[in-house]
Amino acid sequence: MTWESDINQINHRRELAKKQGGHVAVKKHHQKGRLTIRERINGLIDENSFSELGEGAGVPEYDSAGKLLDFQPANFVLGFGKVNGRKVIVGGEDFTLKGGSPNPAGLRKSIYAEQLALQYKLPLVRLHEGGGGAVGGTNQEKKHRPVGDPVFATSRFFPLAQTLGHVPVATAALGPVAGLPAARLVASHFSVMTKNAAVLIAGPQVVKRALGYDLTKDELGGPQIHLRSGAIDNLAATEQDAFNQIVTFLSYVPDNAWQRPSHVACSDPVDRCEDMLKSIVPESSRQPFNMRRIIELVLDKSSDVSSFFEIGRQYGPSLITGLARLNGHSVGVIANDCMFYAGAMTASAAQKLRRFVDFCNSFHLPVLSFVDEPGFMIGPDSESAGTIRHGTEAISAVMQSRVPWASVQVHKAFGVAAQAHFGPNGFVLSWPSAASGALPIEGGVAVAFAREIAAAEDPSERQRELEAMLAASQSPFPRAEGFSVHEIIDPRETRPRLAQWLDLAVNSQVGPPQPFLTTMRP
Amino acid sequence: MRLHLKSHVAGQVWKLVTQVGDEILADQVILIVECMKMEIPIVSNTSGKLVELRVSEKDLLVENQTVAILETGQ
Repeated sequence: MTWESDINQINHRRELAKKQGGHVAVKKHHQKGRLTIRERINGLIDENSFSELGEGAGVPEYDSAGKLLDFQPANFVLGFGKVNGRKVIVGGEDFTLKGGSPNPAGLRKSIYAEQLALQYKLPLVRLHEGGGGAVGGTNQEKKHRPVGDPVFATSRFFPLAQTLGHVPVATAALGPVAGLPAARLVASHFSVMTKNAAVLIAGPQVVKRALGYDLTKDELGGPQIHLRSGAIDNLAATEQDAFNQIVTFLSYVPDNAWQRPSHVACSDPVDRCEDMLKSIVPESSRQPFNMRRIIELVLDKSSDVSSFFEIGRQYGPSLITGLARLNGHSVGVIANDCMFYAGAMTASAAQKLRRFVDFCNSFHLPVLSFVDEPGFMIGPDSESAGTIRHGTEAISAVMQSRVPWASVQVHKAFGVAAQAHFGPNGFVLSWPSAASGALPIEGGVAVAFAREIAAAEDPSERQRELEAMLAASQSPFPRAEGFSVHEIIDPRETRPRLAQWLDLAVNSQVGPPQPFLTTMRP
Repeated sequence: MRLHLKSHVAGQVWKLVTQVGDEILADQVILIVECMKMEIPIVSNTSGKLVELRVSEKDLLVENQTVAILETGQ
């Protein structure tokens, strides 16, 4: 007696599970230009590295003689895989079965993904496409079952909330994602969506019924909405581009909050000094410059490709956030983009900064800050957006930061908002183009010296005199003389100076890293 | 195809640096907006013919306002 027949049945069920929603549904899915969840997982992870969990979970169908006729698999595929040799947990909805709206086994597997990541302390990748629950519920035959989860059951949102403090979570929206999958999509450190994806709390029909708007899925929650709303970080040209971005993201972070990011060999000379840095900031403060170019010139590159990976470019665009390497160390980068409102801190830029600094602290990434901060964004729209609260929250997050922090004052550092760019015990370098103070001269003088200017024989001449006098006081030299910065440097020295500091800072960290906890903030 | 070129910032039109009828190259500056005391260039990201300028110097702009229309010939 062997278990031959049962073993055959196991293999048969596996074959049936791999058919997903069946030939017709898969073909229809492909015709929409979309990959199936199994193709997606293979596109993300190293070849043949998928070790699936619960392939046998689903609903069998038997004939009267008890012979297996068919098997409807769980519509969430889950397992372990490897990304560049590192183990990760990966899962996603199978849209070819019930449009990804969970069937009973699919729901169990999907909400297990976070628990699995927490238990094994591994990065979690979720590839989403699917709807939430239906009004009729997940179980079609409820008659003989108790309704709802037991009152003592742990909420499925409990592990979802815990993961962000414990393991890196990267997600993708690869089609319509609504309801619970949308909530899980944004419960991540990095999210990406394809051009034809849509992220929705509720779809067009529900919206029309409740509010009267007649909008398509794309109009409601396409990339043009959610890259700007901040719900999703990055856009992907194709599904493969989305997977590649997730792989890149994971390369900068450790497996969990109890580890530090790994160091990689660096082929880029640490003493590389770029001449372009000398002249990149125009002498006139009215002229903008390209901050991304500065970041690229300073940080590691290999074969002319910058290590800088930008996150959330379209959200709060006056602030740039991203990951990069310096002398092989992973770092978080923040910088102002003066092309958007002179780089001023808007409500969304403040929220972006707060979230990014918390992320860096969660995974022990040192922060490099390139400063060109004219202050909080002013005006009626900014007041209405509650910028002052969001901005003060961002400053509080920076003050609670515990990772090594270096700031390069490239240009402006004005007002309260400037404080969001200098972390505790930070290393501060200043370029000759730096200017600091409570207010930019042009606005500040007219207000502070209003009476004196008005009383002068030639008011506009007096204003110019005062501006020239005060401009001298905003120069970086007095600050260097007063040891208010560690050093005023030739901009070309930025890379070697930062690299030297980073080696010291990284080596001074003692004891095992721990998950990051914060307190109430403004 | 007609493309709407929009201003990514609110502000005041400081200078028009192109004219209707100009052949525009990708990355060319169309006009400059003064915003938060800085001169912010509004750049076309494609090439084409400038067929309409919807703003004049000193005009106030809101974010995402169409400032010019390009005929791209595609």
